[in-house]
Amino acid sequence: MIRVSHVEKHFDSFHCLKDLTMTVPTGAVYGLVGPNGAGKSTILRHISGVYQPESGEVEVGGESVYENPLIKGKLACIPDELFYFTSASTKDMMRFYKGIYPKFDMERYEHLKEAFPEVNENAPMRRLSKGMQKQAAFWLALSCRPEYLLLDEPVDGLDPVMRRQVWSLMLKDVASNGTTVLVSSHNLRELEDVCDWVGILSHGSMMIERSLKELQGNVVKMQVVFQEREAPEFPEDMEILHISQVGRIHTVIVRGTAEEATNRLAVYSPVLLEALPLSLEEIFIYELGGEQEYAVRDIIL
Amino acid sequence: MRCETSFFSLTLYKKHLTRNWPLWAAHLGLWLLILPVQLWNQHIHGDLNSFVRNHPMDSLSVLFPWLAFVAALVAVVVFFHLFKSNAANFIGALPLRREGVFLTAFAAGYTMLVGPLLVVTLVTILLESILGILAPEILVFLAAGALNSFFWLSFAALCCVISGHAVAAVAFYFIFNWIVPVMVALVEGLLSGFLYGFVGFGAGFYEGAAWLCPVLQLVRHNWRGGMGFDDWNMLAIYAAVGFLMTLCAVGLHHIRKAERSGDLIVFDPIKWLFKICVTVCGGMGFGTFLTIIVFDSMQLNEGWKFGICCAVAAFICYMVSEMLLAKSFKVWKHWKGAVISAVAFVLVVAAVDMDWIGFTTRVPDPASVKSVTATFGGSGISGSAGNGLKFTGEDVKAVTDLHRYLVEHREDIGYGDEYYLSLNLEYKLGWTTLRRQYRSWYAPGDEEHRLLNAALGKGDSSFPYDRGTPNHLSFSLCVSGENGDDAEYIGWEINTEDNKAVWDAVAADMLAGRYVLRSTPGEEELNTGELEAQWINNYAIVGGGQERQFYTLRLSPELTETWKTLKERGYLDRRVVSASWGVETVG
Repeated sequence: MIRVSHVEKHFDSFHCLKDLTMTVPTGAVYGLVGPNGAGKSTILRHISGVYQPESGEVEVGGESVYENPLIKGKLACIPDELFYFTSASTKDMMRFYKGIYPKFDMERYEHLKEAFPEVNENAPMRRLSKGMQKQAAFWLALSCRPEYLLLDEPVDGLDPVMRRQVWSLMLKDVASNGTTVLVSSHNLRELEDVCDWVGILSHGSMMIERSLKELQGNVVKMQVVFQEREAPEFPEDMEILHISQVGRIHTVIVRGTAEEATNRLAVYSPVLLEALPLSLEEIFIYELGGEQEYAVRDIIL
Repeated sequence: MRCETSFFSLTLYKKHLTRNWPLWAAHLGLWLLILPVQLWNQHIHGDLNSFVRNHPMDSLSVLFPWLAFVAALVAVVVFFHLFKSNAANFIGALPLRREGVFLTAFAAGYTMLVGPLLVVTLVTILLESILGILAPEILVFLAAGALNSFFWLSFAALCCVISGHAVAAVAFYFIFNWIVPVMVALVEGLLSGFLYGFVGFGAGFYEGAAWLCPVLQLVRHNWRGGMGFDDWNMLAIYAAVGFLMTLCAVGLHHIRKAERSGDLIVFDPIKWLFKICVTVCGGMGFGTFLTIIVFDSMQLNEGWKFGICCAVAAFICYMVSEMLLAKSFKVWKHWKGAVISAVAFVLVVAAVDMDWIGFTTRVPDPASVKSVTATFGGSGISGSAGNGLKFTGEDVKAVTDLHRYLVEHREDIGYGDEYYLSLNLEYKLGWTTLRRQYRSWYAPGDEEHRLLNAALGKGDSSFPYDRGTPNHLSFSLCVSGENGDDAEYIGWEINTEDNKAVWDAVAADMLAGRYVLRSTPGEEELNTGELEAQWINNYAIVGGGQERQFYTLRLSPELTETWKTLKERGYLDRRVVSASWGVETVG
């Protein structure tokens, strides 16, 4: 388990993390989403032991991770900005990781060559394209047999085929080894396919942290055609996140289950009433829609 | 293979060595050329015996500055993780303790510096044994190099830990090496210009300051002739300082925040120190430059010019320091600090220039003076009169009176290329010593004359009484021209039989304190109607040969005995006929 408790962090005068608390269950694939500047990369660096929190705790496997080589040996991290030694090839980096990580698996490294056939392990990494560098990073990270895998924008730069490949490998690891994966991304559509837990970060604090099922089950999109053209006044206790209208069709995003929303809207005797599941992207947009200065605006060109 | 020790990583250590091989290979190549290759050349062309003994020791003067340079590069490459965020994140995420990362990097750096020297030593020993001329000096070379490498690497490592920017770390390293002597020279120059009587910081101060410029200290030292206690002492002291720096660097590395990589200065308290140092050093240096450029001069009593320029310079330098720290030109919000710096400089310059600290006007009470040593010099002093005269008891008052006079009339001292009178004073006041130095460019007035005479007369005069009567005495009369312009002279030789009498009369006047200086420096500048006595003496000197001494004395009316003797002997009644300017009578 990865546990972050009441972590605070400032960068000079900028308050980056504000009493952040999150929990990544063991064996989960946790998607960390948030707008730009929310603090995703920062908290990942705390969890990987790079940053020390000013207050609060960051624990991995029940132990504080900062300055803890034993715990760090169980972590593999693929950051958004990759690093490799000057002129080092994938093979050179392999030798380095082999000497550093206690569980580095040479057999797995050889086996994963097939998964990343386009990466020339002898070519200097700086000569590889961004996508290939990312592939090499995955190759090396998975070879370390980590118990915890931290991924910051992992599939950025990968082609669709390689993305699928990478996710597939990762999920296999999760399934077979119980690897705990924490991934931050803006690509919510992909996260939806792989994550079973989601945390939405905003302005340094965790807004929502739930299993995906629970999250999707907690907000519903209702398409309604009312008797009248205009929508009626809804009661205050009915938490409407968003309402839009195209012709006579109203789209209402309501917090609650589909059943609850259907029952509550049925009192208006609508002509048409249908509950649709929300995508993670829609949940993200509408959950943060109430945030000041961060709402989806219709841009008219 | 993983090393189980958390304070050292063999994998990382080997990585440092393999990825930075060009650096230590160049270091190795250079010293192979300097030592064993030269030894081979000498074997073919010259004398091996003295070469094997002297060459390694002579090479130390090259080795130490070279190590200073290479250590900076080595530190930057092994502490690469301190300078870029992605590198910091990479190393920070590895299962290594911070101390382990630092010590591994340091060990790798030290290996890169000393390893090549060890190889060179072994090759040289091998060559020497083949040539049948083994000498221990090569081992001395290795030991000295090892000690010195430790110091330089520690210094460079500390600079790297303090700074998050590779170029800045190297810049700090080189600046810290030289800043002390540069600032001492600058401050001394400024104080000499603005503090009337300032004589410098003293030999002990300079010696201490020299230690803070290790490159200079090591290069100037004479290493030839074997390493004695003092030589090893110097290297050991620097190595000990290096050890302290390493401890400091380890501690700072431990608390260093990874997110600060890329910042010019990583630690906030040191940022303040940086701003202060840039403002003070830059304000003084740049202020001096501005003063000379804008006002074309910088002299005593013109402190306001320096104050203005320093204020401007301090303002600019403070803003520059903020720009460097912020890595941005948009730092106008820090204008208050710049203004405060400028005002502070103005106040300091005013304090010095207007002598708020009482330095200039301080003249010790004679009763509190145990002794004072006065050294008179300058072209206004005849011969070597008055060097290192010591005054005690009641005689001290003559010196303090002169001192007070010079202080009270300091506005009149003038400036020029050659000073007329210099006076160095060293007062012993109980446990302390007060030193002052004065120079005067103008001929002294009557009062100053009187005080000078009184002081010089009281001391052990250096007038050459003990060297016997000079071989040749003469005096000359300035018959036309003012203050030396177009001055024309006629001269009289003193007859041999009158030599001693005239000389004794001059000596008697001097002993009585009626000593007189030359009228102006450097030239025989006399006012019309004044007499000047000159004597030339040839003295035998040790080792054979002769020394000629020339003395010139203005015969002012105060030298009563001299005048009396000249008159008695009839020299003053002489009539001179000259075709160019007619006849003048002296008397």
